[in-house]
Amino acid sequence: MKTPSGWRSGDGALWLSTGAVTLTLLLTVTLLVLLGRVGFGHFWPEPLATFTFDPATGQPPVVAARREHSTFALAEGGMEARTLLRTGNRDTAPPDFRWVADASLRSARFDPAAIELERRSWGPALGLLAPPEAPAADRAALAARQWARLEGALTLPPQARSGTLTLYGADGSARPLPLAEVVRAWRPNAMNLQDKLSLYFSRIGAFISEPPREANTEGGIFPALFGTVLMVMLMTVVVTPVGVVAALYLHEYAPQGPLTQMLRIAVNNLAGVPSIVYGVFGLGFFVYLVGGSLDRAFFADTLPAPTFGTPGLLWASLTLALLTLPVMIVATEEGLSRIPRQLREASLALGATRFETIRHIILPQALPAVLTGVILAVARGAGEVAPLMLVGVVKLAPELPLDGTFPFLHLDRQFMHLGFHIYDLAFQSPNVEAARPLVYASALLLVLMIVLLNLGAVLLRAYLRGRHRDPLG
Amino acid sequence: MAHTMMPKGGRDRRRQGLDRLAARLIPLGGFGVLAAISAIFLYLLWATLPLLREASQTPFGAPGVAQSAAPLVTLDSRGDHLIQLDGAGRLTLKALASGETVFSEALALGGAPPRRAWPVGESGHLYAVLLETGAVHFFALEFPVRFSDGIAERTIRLSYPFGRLPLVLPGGVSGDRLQSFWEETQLTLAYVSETEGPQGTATLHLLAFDEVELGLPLLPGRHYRYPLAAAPERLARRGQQWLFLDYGDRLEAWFARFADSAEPAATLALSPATPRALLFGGQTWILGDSDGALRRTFPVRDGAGQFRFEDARPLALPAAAQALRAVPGQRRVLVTLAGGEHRLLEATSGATLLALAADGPQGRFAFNDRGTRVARIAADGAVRAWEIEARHAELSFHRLWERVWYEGYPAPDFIWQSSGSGADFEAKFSLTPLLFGTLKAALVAMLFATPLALGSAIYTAYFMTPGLRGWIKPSIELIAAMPTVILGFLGALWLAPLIEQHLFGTLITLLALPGLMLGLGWLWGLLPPALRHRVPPGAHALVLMLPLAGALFALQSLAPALESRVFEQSFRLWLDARWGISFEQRNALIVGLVLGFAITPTIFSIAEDAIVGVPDRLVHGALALGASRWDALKQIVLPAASAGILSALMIGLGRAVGETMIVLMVTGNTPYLSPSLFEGMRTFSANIAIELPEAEVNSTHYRVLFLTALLLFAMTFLANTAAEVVRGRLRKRYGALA
Repeated sequence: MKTPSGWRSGDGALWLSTGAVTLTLLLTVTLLVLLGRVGFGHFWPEPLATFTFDPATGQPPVVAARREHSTFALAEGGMEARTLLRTGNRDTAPPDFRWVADASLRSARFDPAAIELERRSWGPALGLLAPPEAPAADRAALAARQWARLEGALTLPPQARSGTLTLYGADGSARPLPLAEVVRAWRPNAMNLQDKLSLYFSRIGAFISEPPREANTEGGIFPALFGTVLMVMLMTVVVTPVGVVAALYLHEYAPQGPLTQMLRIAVNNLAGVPSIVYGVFGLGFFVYLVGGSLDRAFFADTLPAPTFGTPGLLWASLTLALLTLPVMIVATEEGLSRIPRQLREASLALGATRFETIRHIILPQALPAVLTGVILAVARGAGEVAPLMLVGVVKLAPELPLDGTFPFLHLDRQFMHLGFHIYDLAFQSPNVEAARPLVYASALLLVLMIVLLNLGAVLLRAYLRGRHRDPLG
Repeated sequence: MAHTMMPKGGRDRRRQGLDRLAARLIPLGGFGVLAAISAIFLYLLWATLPLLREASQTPFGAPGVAQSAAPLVTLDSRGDHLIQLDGAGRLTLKALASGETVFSEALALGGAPPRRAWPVGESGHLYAVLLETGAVHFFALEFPVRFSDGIAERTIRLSYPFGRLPLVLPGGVSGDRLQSFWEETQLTLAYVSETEGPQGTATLHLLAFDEVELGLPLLPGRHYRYPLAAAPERLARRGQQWLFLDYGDRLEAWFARFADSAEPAATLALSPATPRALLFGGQTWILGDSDGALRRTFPVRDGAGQFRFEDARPLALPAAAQALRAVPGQRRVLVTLAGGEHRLLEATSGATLLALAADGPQGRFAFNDRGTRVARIAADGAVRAWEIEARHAELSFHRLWERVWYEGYPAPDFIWQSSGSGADFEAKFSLTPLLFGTLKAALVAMLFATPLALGSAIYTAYFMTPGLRGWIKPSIELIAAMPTVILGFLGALWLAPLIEQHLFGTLITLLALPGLMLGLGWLWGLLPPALRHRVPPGAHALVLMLPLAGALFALQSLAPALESRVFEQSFRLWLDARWGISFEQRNALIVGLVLGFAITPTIFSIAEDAIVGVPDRLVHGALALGASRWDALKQIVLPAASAGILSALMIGLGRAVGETMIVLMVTGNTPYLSPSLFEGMRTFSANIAIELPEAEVNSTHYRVLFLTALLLFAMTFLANTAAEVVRGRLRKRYGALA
């Protein structure tokens, strides 16, 4: 292989193809970096500054965090640099996000008494623990006293907390904030790295384990995560045996003629059929036809309110099982075809029946391939959203599909899904700016999940190939 | 066979049995699974086929007798009973199925004989009676279900929802020039009184009652009066927008909203003998021409904001129409032909739903409120009824794919508008803009993906060391596993605003990318050879990542200055001002970038396999004969791999056609036919995702959406099968070479 140097015939095309790889990799890296930066960054305590503005604008000073910086083309010509400030306090001083012209910013002071509070409603509250104009010593003492009281209250359950915290605005205004409303609080300007790290991880933990609040723009994504995992598990339970049996048939039992070849091509092609088509099929066939018939046969007393004749967990799992079946079959068959013929022949020669050979020789050998198939199917299933929009996901499910009431697993319930949660947050959210970091964080979680699953499949495949290099060894 | 020679113990028999069982069950299961998957296609087809079903009519019920000249002869809303009000004020209901009279009662009309009665509103159980005294009375018929001994029985209940006193109309009604319209909670009566006044001989009255509720007395209504030069023969109103005054020799369209003064918005001159009927929806008039055509005319707003009557494509008839009758609940019209034959026509497609032999022009027809049952009352009073099954009769190839002139539109057009406000909304199912949008999104995506994927494939397969390739290939393939919802949201929330702000920079970058790469290659050649040779073959792509990123960033920073120098304003404003190209934030360019990025790994992966699959001996032979590496690629490798590359492109196209989440999030989903790169589109897949959850099961809308799913299935399945066949050929060719 020659190293390109100087200009010869074809070098231009060579560099263009180099550029294609470079650009593809660059785009991939950009995408991951972007997701990671905003998604991981969201949980890091942002420094809060007291901003003052040009008196000509008439804007009062405000406690805020810098979110973004951009230049805007003005309608009257020219450009203006602006900063997006996150000011919180949606209840008392809306809006909670505002663009301000950099030219109008006068000063930004990082006050150690600045505090951010996560609340049960109305989103975060930003403010100061002590009035801005008081003498420094008094301020420090007041801020410490309030902080101690808040920390004490936060160790209690919300209903056991009484009293209020006085939150001061940058303009000196004061307002009471019921302690029972506070979920979490931090003073970003007074924290050291260790405090920040510990808050960071506790917020990530809360994000994963808490239910959403405030029309999904606050709180965590636990129900969505739970719904995704449960749905994918149910799908796996269905798709694995079915896929393995189909692959066994194709590879071990079917006469290897043009018909089987055609079937194989059909299975392959089904992997390329758009997922939304599976959704349409799921809605028409599973939900309306099968579910409707089930309702008429077993739940006639609750009609016309449908039980299974409406989108739900069961139908979503079955639809996705159908969608991932080709992946499963192809992966398993590939594994089967890697098993050397000698193994089969040796087993049969020793008097084992065909079924015994399959059970004791072939299937154990093919197990890694089956697992690869499962992982690939799970990765595909976890990331699909379009068909689920038709057969079962909702933006906010009041109950988890798995709980303590009989029959524990509620297959007829609708559920939340991480992928749909992302779509919903990004597009139907009442407060797009507030939801934005959560979208990135949810997306990051989904990407991590899927990248890990795929990585697992890749490694498993590598292991599998290594193992079969010496089949009889 | 060895085991047949062995003595057969019970254990062996069990083993053999198990084996035979497995040999039956596995093929059964396996074949069943494969059949089940193939059933997707059949199911979609099965759900779509009713769209093609011809309209059918079945005779229904026993023959009966009715008075063809009674003030009211109609069917109830379900079409089970023939309702008749005779000239003496007696209301009788006959069950159509048996012909028996099931209800008979004299209406409490205060002794005044009824002149005419009619159902109020397009559905419901309210009827209005115009009395000979000129007053109006209302009655309601309901059919509550009563359970007796566990058997459900429909009973009949007559009531006077607004009280037992008739409504006296100020000014008095002249003849039967009275018309009612009921929508939601507003009841409007329009009528004409003949008065001698300075401004004319007649007055048009509009009487509007708000917050009408059955069972509560009418609140005092608002009353508007408009003087008319002459009294119209008839009033007609069947929709929110228009009140038509029919003078015999002309039609006047008045805005049916109330103001202190009003005048006709549009006028159409007619021959007084022209048969006419106002269609359901209240916009289109069907007019019979003497030469056997049916004109369809409706008021349209022209460019100057003025309304005028406009004719859509006429419907052909075998003979001239003698009489026309409008049908409730459907855009259908009942035509009596010159020979006396009757036909029920779908007014927009012209399809014949019911044809009845000639029994004369006299007599009348009665319909239920959805127009699914029709009864013919001949002049002699004989009653026959039919059930009409024509659920999807308004659909045809023409309406799905060609320009259709819908009522209220200035010209025929491709329109997808599946739902709207009001029960009289006419659904418009043109698949052309959706197909166009689907192909537009896919082709723009291919425009970006093809060079990227093929370039990458050639480089990775042909120039990289196997070790490096083992890393780079899975990394690129990882994008294929990326959930498209994530690419979609990044495209819509991050890329779209970014490109909106830096449109010029983006376009410049896209155009300059090839040049940029060549420039970087040239610069690379200037580096000292010692440095160059330290980079292993094929690793240039990695080494160049940072310089390329830097160059792109520099280009982006320079673009604004260039933009203001060249255009003296923002590029977007310039586009709009100079070329009239409007810019939407979510447009085809962004779809192309994001969707193109999403399908790149698919194309890359298959194309790369095809290139790697070309036997090395061919390349080595070419090199040994003195060809350069580039020549070997161009003359040997690419032709040999061309079929595989083609199949890669086809599979990529299939992916792009069917992708849902990205287009759903990035396009804006406007179903317009616009070739502009800076405007959005709506694709089949996004359309399904948006509309199917809301579509009523088994409605025309639902089935049309299934049809689009079937189309998607067919398109992708065919593309994939073609690709598979091509690849099979390729494998055979390699087999011959090896």
